[in-house]
Amino acid sequence: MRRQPLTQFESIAVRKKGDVAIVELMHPRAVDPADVALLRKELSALVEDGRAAKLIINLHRVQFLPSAVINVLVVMEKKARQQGGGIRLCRLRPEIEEVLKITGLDKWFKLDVDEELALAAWGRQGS
Amino acid sequence: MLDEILRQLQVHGWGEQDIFAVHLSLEEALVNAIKHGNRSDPHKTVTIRCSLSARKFLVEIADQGQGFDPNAIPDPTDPEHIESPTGRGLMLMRTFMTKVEFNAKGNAVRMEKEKSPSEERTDKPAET
Repeated sequence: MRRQPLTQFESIAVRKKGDVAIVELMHPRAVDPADVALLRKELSALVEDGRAAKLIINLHRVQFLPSAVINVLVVMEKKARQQGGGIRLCRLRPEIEEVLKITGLDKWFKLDVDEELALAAWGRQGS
Repeated sequence: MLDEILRQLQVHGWGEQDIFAVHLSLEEALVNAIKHGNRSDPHKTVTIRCSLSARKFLVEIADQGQGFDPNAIPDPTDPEHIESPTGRGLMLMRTFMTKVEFNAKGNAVRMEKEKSPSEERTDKPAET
């Protein structure tokens, strides 16, 4: 199957810095099942074909994080971890961080203030 | 419908944090009703009834599904279940709302939210 170019995603914007993929979730309120399905499909295309195991997901646009989107991120984190990487989340609004704390996922994901700190953490962690 | 509820909360002087809490809980409850309750059957309906005052928001959401036992849903923060796709929405509803109750069949939820004291706004004294 032909790989989808990184620039042709709709629900995410992807940049690479070395072996780290910096991913921005583009939808502020992905609540529609079709939006969630698209996010799952595009993150899968990024993680499952081995193009990116180390990810930083920048949530600065995200105003709202329903459990359906959290579930997608949990699945993708596990897949990325299985490939020797993982997902670091950065630039979370306080209410989004609160949602992760309530669901116990603030310990499942690594949380960083911004992309620079997340990149530095990936650098320290190595491969 | 949802946008109108959120707009009315603003009109009644509710603050951002409480509106976020109600919004998230409504989205989670509606997804549960449509996806898990009615199994996305377009011939089935979801009924929403709500009332709002300056201090309290009440909503009942009922689907036409078989219902479920909310007490049988495992704790999603338990490390054994943290990868499970179920339970997080219910946990968020229970945390963000003041009260969450299901009917005996488990196909209708009643949620109540009292305005947080810290969210009191003095510029919109609307009371109905």
